[in-house]
Amino acid sequence: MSTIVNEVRKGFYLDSVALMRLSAEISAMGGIEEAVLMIGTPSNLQIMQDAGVLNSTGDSASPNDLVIALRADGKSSANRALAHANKSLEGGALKSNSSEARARTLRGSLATSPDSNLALISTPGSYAAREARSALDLGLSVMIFSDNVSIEQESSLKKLASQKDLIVMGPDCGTAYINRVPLAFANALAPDTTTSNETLRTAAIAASGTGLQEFAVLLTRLGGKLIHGIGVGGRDLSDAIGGISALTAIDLLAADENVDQIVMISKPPGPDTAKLVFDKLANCGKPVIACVFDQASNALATGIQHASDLRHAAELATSETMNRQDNTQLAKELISDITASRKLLVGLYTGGTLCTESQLVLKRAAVEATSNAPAPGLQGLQEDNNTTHRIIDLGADEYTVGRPHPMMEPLVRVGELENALADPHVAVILLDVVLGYGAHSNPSEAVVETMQKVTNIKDKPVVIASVCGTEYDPQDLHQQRAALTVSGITVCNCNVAAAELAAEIINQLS
Amino acid sequence: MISADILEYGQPAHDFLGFNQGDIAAVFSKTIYLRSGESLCCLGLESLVNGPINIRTSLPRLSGLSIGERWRYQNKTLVLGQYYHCHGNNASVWTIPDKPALPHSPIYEDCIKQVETVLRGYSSITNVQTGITNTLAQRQLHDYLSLFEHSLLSAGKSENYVIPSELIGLLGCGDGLTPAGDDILLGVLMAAIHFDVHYLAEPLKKWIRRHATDRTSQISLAHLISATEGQAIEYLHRTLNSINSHLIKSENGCRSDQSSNHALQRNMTDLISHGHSSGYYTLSGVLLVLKHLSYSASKQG
Repeated sequence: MSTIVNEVRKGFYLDSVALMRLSAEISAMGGIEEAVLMIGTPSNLQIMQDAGVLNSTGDSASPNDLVIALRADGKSSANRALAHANKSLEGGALKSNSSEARARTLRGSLATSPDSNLALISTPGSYAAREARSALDLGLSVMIFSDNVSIEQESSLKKLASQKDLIVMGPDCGTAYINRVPLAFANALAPDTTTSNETLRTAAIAASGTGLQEFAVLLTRLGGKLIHGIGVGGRDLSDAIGGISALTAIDLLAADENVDQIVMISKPPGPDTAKLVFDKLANCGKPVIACVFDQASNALATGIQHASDLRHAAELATSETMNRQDNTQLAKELISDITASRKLLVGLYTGGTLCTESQLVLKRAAVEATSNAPAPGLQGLQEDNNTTHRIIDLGADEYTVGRPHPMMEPLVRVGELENALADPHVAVILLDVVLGYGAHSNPSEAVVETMQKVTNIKDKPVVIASVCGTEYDPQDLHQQRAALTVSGITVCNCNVAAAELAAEIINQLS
Repeated sequence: MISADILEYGQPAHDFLGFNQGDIAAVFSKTIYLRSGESLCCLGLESLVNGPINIRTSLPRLSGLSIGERWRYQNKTLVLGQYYHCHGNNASVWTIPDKPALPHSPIYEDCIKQVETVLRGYSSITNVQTGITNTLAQRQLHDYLSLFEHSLLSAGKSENYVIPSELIGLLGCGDGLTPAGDDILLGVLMAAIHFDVHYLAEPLKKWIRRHATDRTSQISLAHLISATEGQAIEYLHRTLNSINSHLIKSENGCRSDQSSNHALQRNMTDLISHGHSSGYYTLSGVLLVLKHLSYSASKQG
């Protein structure tokens, strides 16, 4: 028999996204039939009443109170969920009530941790530059997680850092690894138990974001060992910045005796910067692999190994090969149930670099896609959705202003996925699912639930996904993959493999 | 101690400080709500949008403040908790942007299309317009929006609009700080006031003043009451002004030029980015009034 449990928090306000996320999180817990967290206005109480989650405790709430209302299959499930809700509320919204001493300034932090040598700046963009400058003045290298730092500020900060033998990672540096410690959005690495001298210790320099995440994941899966992942920011290799941070990173990694080889991951640099950076890499004294999207191997300096994509980079770094699927046969099987009028591909990406990489893999297979974030040499979205392949970066500004990033809130993708599944022209839908610190605790769930709505429809697009995650991530990689597979999605072992399969399907259909 | 300046405040917020003391009612990352008796106002960093009950300051952060801590305002200095001091000597009072003259016989279709496009573009989570609903409240809001739209399209110009009794459920309906139902009502009311649609605006003002007190949170009520006095956040005023300018161009037979399109897009984007969903629902309310005006004009024509 169902149990209804309510709790009222007097005079408690929380923003809507936080409440919706917590409601969704609790609803997904085992034994919970329905869970709602809303302020106790009469209208909301009526909604809770209609949903069968309200009891007399909740009904006594006023419009200035928060009501936690849930219905469970028994008391123990209900109490577990309530405890989780309370823990989340205490840990998040009420944190500011904590009397625990916290440093309020960089100087204060340094006083309590005098050995620190890196500051992570995550403030509104308009303040990030000022805080970063303070950190540099205090002798700290800086990772700027914030975006909206102007290119002039970036240049000035990086020049200052260079003068002080420090480094600025970012701005908009979402991922980094320093001495194997993951920072911000990053996947967990394998425990460092290897004693073998045969495993090369790798350091990566990347713009930062899902490119570095995917590389770290594939390297880990192939048994490689990532020591550092330095995110230099998406504009560092432009001629306007001149690769200041990349050049510093090369010096640092070349001098680090714990690093055996360097992997460079980037979009094509500005022409002047390319020469500086590639010459420095070629002469750094260590083996170098460069995965420069859409750049021919002969554009690189002699002595640098060229990787055509992130999978190739991880394979070169480990001298191992990832399993390849038989795409010709698999594609044939996957399209056997769909009508011939379906010709188009839609990619719905939460990771920006994964979105870019897919476009280039498709291009390599003669499938030209349009995108809201077009890769070098490709076109922006066209008005007519019925004639072009579309690869959408759902983390781009137009989808995230005022909303959580889709890596944190996978519901952002649901509407787009539902539209693509219902579109009679769409043959293939391509997805990424990103795990790791900072990502949603169950990112595949929203996708799986959407797929369940079309379970009984025979003629529907083929859905292909890859999961960017390691088995050490806080989310369960195997469960995430299994849930996607059970819902009818073909799960490939990396983003490149997923895009290659999608391209094969499109080519067979045309 | 962290010392900063009060940069700008709305007149009601300035008057609120005259209460001289109170407590902190809510704490968020970039804003806090100050309370004194039943009145509230919002204090935030420089990035806070101007509005009637908003106080913009040059504070770098608000971390460490807690619900229930005291505030006091003496000798033009606002003291928040133990550490934050904001000096008001150079503060200025924000005034609502000037409203352009209203169009006489505008063509609404292009404007409606532009608003709908922006709403669709930003509707990934809270997509009310296309019926993609993720929460119980959103499902309910979808029904209310349809009912509201239907009732507005049926409303005649000759007599005051009669608000359907079911729409009482819109007040306080929704997940967040300012429930989405209140945001929709605010958008409808402000658009009705802006376009001088008295037969909609006056009954709505009375209805909100009569019913909102017991049906929504203090914070949301504070915003709604300001709206009944014709005041809302700057983004909404600028959006309404841009729509107005756009309509005037269409009335004069001009094709909308790129700069007016850009201004409209920019202002709508600012509005819709406000809060987690407040701006979205407010613009949804504005759209209802534009549709009403368009329908009324077509009937007349």
